[in-house]
Amino acid sequence: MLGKLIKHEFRATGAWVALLCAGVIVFAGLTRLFMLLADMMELFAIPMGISMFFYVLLMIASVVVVVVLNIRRFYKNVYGDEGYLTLTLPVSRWKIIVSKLLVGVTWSLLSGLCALLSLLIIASSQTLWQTLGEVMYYLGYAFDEILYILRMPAPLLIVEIVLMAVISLFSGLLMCYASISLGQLFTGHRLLGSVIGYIGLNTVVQIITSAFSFALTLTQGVVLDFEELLQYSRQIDGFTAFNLQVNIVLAIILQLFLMAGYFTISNAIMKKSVNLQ
Amino acid sequence: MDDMTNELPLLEFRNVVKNYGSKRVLDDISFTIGRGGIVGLLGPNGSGKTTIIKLINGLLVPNMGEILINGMPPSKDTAVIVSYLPERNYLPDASRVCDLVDFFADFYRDFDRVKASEMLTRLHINPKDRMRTLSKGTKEKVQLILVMSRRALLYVLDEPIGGVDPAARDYILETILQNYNESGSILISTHLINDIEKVLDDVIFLSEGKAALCASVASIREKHNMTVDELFREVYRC
Repeated sequence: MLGKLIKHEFRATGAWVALLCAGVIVFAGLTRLFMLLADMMELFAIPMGISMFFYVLLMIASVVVVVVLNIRRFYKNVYGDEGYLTLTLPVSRWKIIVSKLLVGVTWSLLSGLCALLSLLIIASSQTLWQTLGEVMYYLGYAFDEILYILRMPAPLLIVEIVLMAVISLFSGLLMCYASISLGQLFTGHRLLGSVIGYIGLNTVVQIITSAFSFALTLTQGVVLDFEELLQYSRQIDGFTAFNLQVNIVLAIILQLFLMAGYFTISNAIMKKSVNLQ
Repeated sequence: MDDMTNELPLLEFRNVVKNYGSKRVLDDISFTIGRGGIVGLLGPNGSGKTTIIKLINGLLVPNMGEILINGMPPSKDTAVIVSYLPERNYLPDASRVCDLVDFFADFYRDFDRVKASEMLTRLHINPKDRMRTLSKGTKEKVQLILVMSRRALLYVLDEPIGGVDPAARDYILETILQNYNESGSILISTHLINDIEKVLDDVIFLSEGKAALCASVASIREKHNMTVDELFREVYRC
């Protein structure tokens, strides 16, 4: 049943995302075309400017809109009128959350990929490639510096960074689901309730994270201040480096723990306290 | 199905209490519905009809008491045997009618595509139309067709004929009568008793969160010498 849920979730939400991605790519292509033409004829600078304007607008919109669409989909399909259909399907409620989560994260990744691809299209000229190369060079330099501080193999760090990024995508969306679900505990003004739920949840997470890093500082005597670390990077000893390595793993575990919390809140409310209007 | 399950009531409410905040909507209500037959769930506005129906479908959880459907508490397992029509437009607006047919066929193994397409044709509904382009009454017809195209054990219909015109109303009642699974039951909530009385076998009258009367339509006619509609007006006189 999870497979069917995912299939129908893709079907129901795909059109918008496809439209956005296509828009971003098309306007990137158009802008690039006008750039080439403008090199030959001054006149084409005007359509280039217009196309560039829409490209930038769409590019920013695509990232924001996908997040909004994901949140709206959950709210409407679970707690809106469509909930009468969704919540009476012969499937477990946790599968409903998982299907929406997987599809939502896929769309976020896809819109990110489209944005990246569109950048490559725009940047497909000599000078822009050069700039991109310079950016990459500095990023590589920063990465080497971090590797030096942490004294760990590069592949492992890359895996951890990617893991962290993906987990924060999941965790971010799950936190929104949990906030929306908390809003359902209110009798009226449930959207406002969701906002209050978000603020409340955020506060709790801040407290947990602060307590967590405070505990680490106490046990390890390490201050988790990135600026300070860079400043004294050459003086960091093996013991501190090891502690930092451990801390990255602990941070990932903390994120997973928070994710489980968000999931439990949504699932419990969908099962026990749901009361559609 | 073995004999054991056949002896179980199809639906049983045992001392169910439901509060919304401090307001008690269902007050220690108990009733059973057997296999086969059409049961009217009748009562004035705010008497708890929709609450009962939401409880059956797991859209609410009771504060006290027990609800058993074929011996099981409401869950994804009972959703397999219960076909539910809510009292509102609940189908996604952006979907085409044929998408919804696919959706139902995917999730409900008892869904009969042939029956659904027959009924759509009969009511002149184009499967390629999107829900948002349909009138309120047509949307209700689509919902009812999808719900009645399942071979469910228990159909739960919340105000099924409220928004449709009288001609379609007759067709829908006829559809309900003809299409439901013989060993299954239908629970219909409504206050349009007159229209629906001729198809009802039993009625449950709700009053102040309790089942004030559970009886067969035949016995009401015999005992009170009135129609259900007349009795309803008498019982709930303001």
